[in-house]
Amino acid sequence: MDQGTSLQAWAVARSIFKGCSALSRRSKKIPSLEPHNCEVKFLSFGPKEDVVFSEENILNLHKGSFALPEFRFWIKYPFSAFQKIKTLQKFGSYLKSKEENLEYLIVLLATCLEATAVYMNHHAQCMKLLGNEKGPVCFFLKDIDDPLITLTMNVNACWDTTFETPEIEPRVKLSFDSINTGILSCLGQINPLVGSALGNYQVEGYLPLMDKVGYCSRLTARDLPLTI
Amino acid sequence: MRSQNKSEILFKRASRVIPGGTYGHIAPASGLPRHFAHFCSTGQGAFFQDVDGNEWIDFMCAYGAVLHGYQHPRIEEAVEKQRKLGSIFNHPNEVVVELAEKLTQMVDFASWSVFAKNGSDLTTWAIRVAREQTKRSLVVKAVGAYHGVDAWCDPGLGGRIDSDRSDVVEFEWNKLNQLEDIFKKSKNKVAAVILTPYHHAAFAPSEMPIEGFWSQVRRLCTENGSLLILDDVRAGWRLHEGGSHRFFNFTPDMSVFSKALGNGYAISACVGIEAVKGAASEVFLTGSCWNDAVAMRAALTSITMCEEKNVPQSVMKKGQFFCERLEELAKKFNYSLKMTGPPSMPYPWFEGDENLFLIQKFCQLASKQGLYFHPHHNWFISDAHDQKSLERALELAGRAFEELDSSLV
Repeated sequence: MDQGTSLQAWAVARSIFKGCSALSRRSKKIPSLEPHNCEVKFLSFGPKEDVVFSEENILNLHKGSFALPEFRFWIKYPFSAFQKIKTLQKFGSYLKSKEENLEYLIVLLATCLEATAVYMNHHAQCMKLLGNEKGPVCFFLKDIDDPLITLTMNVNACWDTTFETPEIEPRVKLSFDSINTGILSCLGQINPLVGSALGNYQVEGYLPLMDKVGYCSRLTARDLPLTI
Repeated sequence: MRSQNKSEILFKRASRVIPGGTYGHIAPASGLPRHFAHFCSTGQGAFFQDVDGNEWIDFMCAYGAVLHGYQHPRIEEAVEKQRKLGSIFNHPNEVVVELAEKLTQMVDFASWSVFAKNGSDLTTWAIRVAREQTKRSLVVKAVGAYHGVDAWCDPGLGGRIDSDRSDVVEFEWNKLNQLEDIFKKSKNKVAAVILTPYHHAAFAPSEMPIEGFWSQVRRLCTENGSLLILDDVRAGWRLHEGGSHRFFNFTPDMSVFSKALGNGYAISACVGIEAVKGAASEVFLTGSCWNDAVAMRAALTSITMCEEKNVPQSVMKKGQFFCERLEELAKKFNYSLKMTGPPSMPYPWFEGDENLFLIQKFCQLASKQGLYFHPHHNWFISDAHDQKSLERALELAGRAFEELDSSLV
């Protein structure tokens, strides 16, 4: 994958997909937005090629600029395309709502960590940093037993995020002391060294992996800052 | 819970004016942030006090920099005398010659010495000397080995460019076949092999060299015309008073010391064989305060004491007592704890605890008892650890095991 537009567009598409999945965990009726490569430089949300964006427009979508899906695709399946576009709009509005609740934190984590996972899979520097690491890296909220989200290498040897509790012992655990801390961390507003020293979050387990994931997430955020 | 109020307030102040608050190996994030203090106020012998007035029995010894104990009277007296005369001048003080003479007398292969402030200053310089001597570029090191903060070797993640490490090749510690392969593939290209006396990586149990490791490394370097640099920064003066190569019975071409050398005063030294003295004089070396007579006086006193009292043997014996007892104590509570590496600088490892949760929990509980046990770095024994302090530490460690046991039920 080229390290510029294609990587960034893929990361945005995957993060939208995971963010939407997090948002719709309660309702199972929403269409799958799992991105697929369509034509060269085009990505489709879902296997049915109804909502297709150029990579450039995906990045516009991320910036909050005007971005239309390709007309020639959605006109073939207007109903399903409409459903998906509605989901995308709902997701965009939800992110901007900046609610301070557990669901919002999980949506934000899913959005940010999935983009990071893409960088961990495809960004040359991130891949080199991670070496043979496989995770799982679990993210918790203080006093809640189950992880909010887990970053792990899946059966296809790709990093991705999951809402399932891993069956194996986490390699490393990060626990936020509050919802607000978690949100601020996703927005890059907490220095990781300062945050852990002051107890904003606690990291346990194999710390070097968290250092690497943290560094990859900051690399990702530098390319794709979350502008909400 | 021991108070950490002042420590926290100070850290908040620090974080406003210092990136990350505190950084490097002492950054809270790399230890136990909510259990260890962030700042110390004073230390004496084997104990230190944090800014909240909590007393700790210390098993890190300023990450190895303190060998005879904090504020050892003999060293402090020598330092104070020197301080009255001055420390930095336009020219070096006589003490630089005395210290160089002492080192070349104590380290059997050494015919010269140079001085700087940190281990990194001289591991990097030694590599440049090797390149000057051999007119080759490649440097071979062990995977995961720490040799300092320079771009060719630092363990951090930021600020790197590809070319930083383009001339560095790695092999896994004790895998001699990998080292042989490097020499075969890079014939006449290897300037130096730089290694620590044994493998003391962080976040992993220490590994001693296998039988024949050092003789084979030495042979490979000699046969290929490459220099063997011993990074004795961490282990130096804790294994053997003549340098750690003596403990493992081999001879490097250069050795770099720091940490325990000055018993807490900032100084590092590189010693080398006669054959590379010419190259050493070609490679520029200086620093504004590197001719610090106070630190040199501290080092001279420290190594003289090492020699007179055979301090390496003493800390090894103390470490052995402590490690054996701690392992036995763990066993009583059904934990399989192995104190890996040499007993004077042991790394604690619970069997099956690859992700480190158990050691972190144990060290957290130990910290409540005032024990400074680090979960991710090898510990250090100083000569100030006497029987009483070690027995007290074991008693407190027993309480930590008890609590560990009940917390895991």
